[in-house]
Amino acid sequence: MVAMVELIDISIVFGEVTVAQALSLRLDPATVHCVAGRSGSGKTSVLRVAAGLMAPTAGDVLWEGESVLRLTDDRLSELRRGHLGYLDQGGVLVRGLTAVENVLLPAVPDRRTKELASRADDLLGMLGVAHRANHYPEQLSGGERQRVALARALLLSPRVLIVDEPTAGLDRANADSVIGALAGLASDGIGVLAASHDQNLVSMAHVRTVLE
Amino acid sequence: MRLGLILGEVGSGLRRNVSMVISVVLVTFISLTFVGAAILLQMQIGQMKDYWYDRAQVAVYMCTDLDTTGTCTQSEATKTQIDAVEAQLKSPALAPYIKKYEYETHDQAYTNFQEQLADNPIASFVTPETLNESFRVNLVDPTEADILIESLSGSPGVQEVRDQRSYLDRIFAVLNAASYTAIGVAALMLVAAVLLIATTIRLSAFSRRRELGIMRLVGASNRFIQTPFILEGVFAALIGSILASVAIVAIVQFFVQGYLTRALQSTTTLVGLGDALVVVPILIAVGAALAAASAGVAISRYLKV
Repeated sequence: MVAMVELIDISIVFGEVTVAQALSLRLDPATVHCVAGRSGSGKTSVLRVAAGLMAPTAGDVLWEGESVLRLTDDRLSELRRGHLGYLDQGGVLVRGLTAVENVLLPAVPDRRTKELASRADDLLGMLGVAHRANHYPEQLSGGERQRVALARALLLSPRVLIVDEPTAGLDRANADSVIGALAGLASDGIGVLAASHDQNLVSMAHVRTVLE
Repeated sequence: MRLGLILGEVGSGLRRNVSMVISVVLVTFISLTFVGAAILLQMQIGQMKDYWYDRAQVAVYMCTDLDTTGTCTQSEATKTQIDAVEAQLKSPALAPYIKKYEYETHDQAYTNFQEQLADNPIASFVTPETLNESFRVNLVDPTEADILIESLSGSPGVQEVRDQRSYLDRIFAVLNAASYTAIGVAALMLVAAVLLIATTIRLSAFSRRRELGIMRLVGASNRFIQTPFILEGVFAALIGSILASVAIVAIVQFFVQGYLTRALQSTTTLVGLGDALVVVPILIAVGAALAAASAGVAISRYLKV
């Protein structure tokens, strides 16, 4: 089976600091793969490399068997929009835009906001924040912001979801609700690559990679 | 590419940094005005060289009773010596290089001298006998004066053979120095403009860094994110370029073609509106290219997430 995302012997070096050395991992469909490790162990950098947002110092990155490191930025960005959704740490939303406008941001580069408006509403409903669609980020709780950001990552129906510390800053109930949502997405066939040190998320994952 | 969205972002960036944008406009305006002035000055020098070099003669001064330089021994050049020089000018060795020549007598030299230095006190002390008689030679190619100088210098009765272009070269050296000074000032001002544009765009990007990071994460390309910022810099620089272009056209129209043409009358040709209109697209292209490059570099650090 072809992996959704595969890192082959990647190294990530910033100046004199080596974040990852000859690291390999693969993400299969319908799988939650958790990258665990203490703070500062390089989990976010590994996710950035997997998402094509950053080139590794060495090694290769494959999406569905194709290397993405030699693609132009325009082509890679276009491919990324179709292939994967990215949920950043803390569920950062753009101030001045409502929840539903934030969800529609990935549709802006391709001018598909009108076409995807009803999907945005559906996603907010699926994640239990439909009643907050027209509220601004500062009017939302941490858990609601995280779910709006998750809806944004899912807008373009990606086959891969990359999530960075999705439960950080949430109370247990909200954190478990997000973990449940990720498990549900995996059971729908999406490959989920998560960086976390939340034990509940780590133990729920089908595959784990621990960074030293 | 999503023109409305991009223009909206450009407008909001310009409103947010209005004082910086005004600085960019002013610095670009002044620097490009200097660039335009330097280009026009170079054009003027080129035109003057064409005009004057074409008219510059080689003067073969014959001895007077007072001269002790050259082959002169305080005695007037004899008719034989004058005829010998003329024969050399007509000889097959020199004739191909000569377009025409004429002989200027003491009286003609005196008349010309009085005309040219009418307001100078020295004019009242000069008598016809103190001014050299001379052959005034126009060459086919004015740059080949050395041939004439080498052939005739030292001939009996010849005091000096002088290429008048040597006088012009001094004038052109001064004009060139002025032109290079303008280029130097323009270069410094352009550096200031580039740095100011970069700072403005950095400030603009810094205030929107959160949105930029999110747009990268949701799949926007670098080009999509960079474009509004680059247009913001280019827009400000373009206003400066257009102001500089207007200034250059106004300088040529009102100062050069108006004041200078009246003051100098028809003694030389001056740059005209046609020359100014050649400079305008250069200024606009330089302004836009520098702003785009500067803004592109400034924004790049905010594209990393």
